[in-house]
Amino acid sequence: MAAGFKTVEPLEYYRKFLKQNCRPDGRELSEFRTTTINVGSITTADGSALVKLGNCTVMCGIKAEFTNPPIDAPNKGYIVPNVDLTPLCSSRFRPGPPGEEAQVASQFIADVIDNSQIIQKEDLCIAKGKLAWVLHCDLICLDYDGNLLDACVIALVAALRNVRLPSVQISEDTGLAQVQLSSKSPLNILKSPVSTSFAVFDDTYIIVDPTDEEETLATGLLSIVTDEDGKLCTMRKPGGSALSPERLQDCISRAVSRHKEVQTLLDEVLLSVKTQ
Amino acid sequence: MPGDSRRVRGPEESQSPLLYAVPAQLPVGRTGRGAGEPRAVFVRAGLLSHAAGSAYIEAGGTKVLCAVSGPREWGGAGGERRGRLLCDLRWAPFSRAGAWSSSAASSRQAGLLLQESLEASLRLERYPRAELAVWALVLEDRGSALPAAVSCASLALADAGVEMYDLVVGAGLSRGAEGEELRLDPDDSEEEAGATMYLSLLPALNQVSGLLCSGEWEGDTSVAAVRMCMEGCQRLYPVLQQSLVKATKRKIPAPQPQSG
Amino acid sequence: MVLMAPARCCVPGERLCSLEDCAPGYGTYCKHGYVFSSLSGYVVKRSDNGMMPVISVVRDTDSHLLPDVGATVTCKVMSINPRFAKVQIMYVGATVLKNTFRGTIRKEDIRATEKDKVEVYKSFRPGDVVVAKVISLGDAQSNYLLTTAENELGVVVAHSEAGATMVPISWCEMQCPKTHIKEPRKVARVQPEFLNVTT
Repeated sequence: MAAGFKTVEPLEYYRKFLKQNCRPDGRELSEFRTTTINVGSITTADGSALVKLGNCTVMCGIKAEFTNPPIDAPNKGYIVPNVDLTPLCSSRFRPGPPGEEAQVASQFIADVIDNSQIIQKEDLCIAKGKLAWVLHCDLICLDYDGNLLDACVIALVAALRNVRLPSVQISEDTGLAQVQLSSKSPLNILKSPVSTSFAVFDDTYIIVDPTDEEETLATGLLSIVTDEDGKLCTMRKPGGSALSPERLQDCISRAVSRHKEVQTLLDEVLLSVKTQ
Repeated sequence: MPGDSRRVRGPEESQSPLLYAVPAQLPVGRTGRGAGEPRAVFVRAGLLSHAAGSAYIEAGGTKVLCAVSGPREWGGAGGERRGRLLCDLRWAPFSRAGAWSSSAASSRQAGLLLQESLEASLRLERYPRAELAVWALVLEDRGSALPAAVSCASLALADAGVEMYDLVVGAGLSRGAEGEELRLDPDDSEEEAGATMYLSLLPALNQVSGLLCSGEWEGDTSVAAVRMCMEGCQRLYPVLQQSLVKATKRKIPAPQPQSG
Repeated sequence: MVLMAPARCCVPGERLCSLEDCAPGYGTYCKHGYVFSSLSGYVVKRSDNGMMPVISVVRDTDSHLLPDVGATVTCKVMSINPRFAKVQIMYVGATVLKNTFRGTIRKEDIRATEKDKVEVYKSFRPGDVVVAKVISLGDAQSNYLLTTAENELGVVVAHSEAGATMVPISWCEMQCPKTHIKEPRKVARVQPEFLNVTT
């Protein structure tokens, strides 16, 4: 009978749980789902990471290529993120060019990269005005179960820290690049931003890490990105219920504590990859 | 890509660093396994939460993930008493060892090849006016991605509970450039080097549902190649069956024995 | 009816038995005088007294259940216009459907009496949950055809304009508990034994 009630009146079903300060899957309001990170599984990519937040699965693959630096910034390279939401991950997405949600997610990731200064684009330049790296970061969602942005940010950071670029020299005689595939070095990663997403129900309850159902029933969404020093990089609140400054402050503190959780997990995983 | 407004702006064009690298010396002949030996395989069915059925195959380095949705109501052209199968096979932008390829480029042909191999095995007349959609993604392509995708898709359909006559198993084969040695389950360097053949088989009924050849094939060699592929399929079949049984036991509780 | 225990798991294409031993049931097909499985599930053998046992393969997830003619379905009204109401079928009998189907309730099938005086706007509104019966599977162009022309069929759950769940007061009216405004609906008469009094 519970399954029936859930299909017909999902909001009432959720309200019953929220009144008891918990959620149907047994979590507390400020509890995250189990996070697993797996790094370096795709050997054809220069860096890769697979992140699972409960059921939500995102795979990030980074491929580095050569290109001419942009005309207005000849000493910088490019990082191009792209989030792919295909019918593979959920039947709500249609095949074809990126839909609204994918475009929004891609732009969000681009903002996170710019605002958090995770990597200096000057480091990607090989020869000023002539040759620079472009990092194509492709984030493919394999299983969509809410909280896509958090999983994408973790996957991106893990993959960037896994990237190994071959050394390049410009030969003076020919002016062409010479690539040494045998000597690879990691990128210089300055910051590790972590995103925390919240959903607001009925203007009163704030829950952390919403699943797909919770996102559709929520009256407001919020994502906060912080870095190691407890500083805010980006905040995204696309409309929805209004939040008072005190509640916003609570959310920010939860985001800072979440950052520590993810940081320890990420360091552990990357260390285990190195020692292999 | 010039101004695709739906994606984040990147450079107009880019080249792979491999163009400027010293090419590695490829060993002549196969190392580590025999000519008729397929690579070790890892198979798992029923791993995605939202799809009706799903499967994942790792064959050597090649990784393929497949999800099935449906049967869904299809508002199609009149009077069709048979269901319809839609297949989509994509390569991830980072899946190939060479250059990066944008997600925007996808091939219709790959989906049609998959559909051809799978349709023969499904009992679509049991799903009138319904549509089944198969979404396959190659995460890493280290050779024989298409046959792996066929096996993966068939396993995902079985995991979704779609009625079928038999599982479809795929196998690939390449003929080396030097001599006429046939190599089963080629990896990416072997695939590019010579002619290739991909075959999909319904093992229990011993029927071939799909055959794709590229390069020159003649007379006896092609017959020997087909036979070798069929053997490769038969070897892979028990692995697929086992993973399907495990997935079914995980997904569905056994019916309680009643008496009455 | 006797079920053999324990049930074993099988895969499509597995040979179950010969046609002389059992008759083929759901989830199986016959070829060359043998019965093969066409699903991955559990093998179930049922033998009625005197008749040949029937072997079938079952998967408990009836997500491929399709509404049949004469079946009672529960649906949600998606849109209405003066001639018919479009609904989305969510339940067939007591089982939830994984993939919903679309259905239509024509103006003349809403009520059994005074069919020409019926107004769709006064019988259903978008968002109502309705119990109906399937009268036709429809052809290629149209969806399932449903009817509510019986006392037990009609609206079971409806929300008022104010947003509260309304209480039925007669076969043609429901009342909002917050504003006490009465709204016209074609209400289903629930049998007394099915009424669940919640404390």
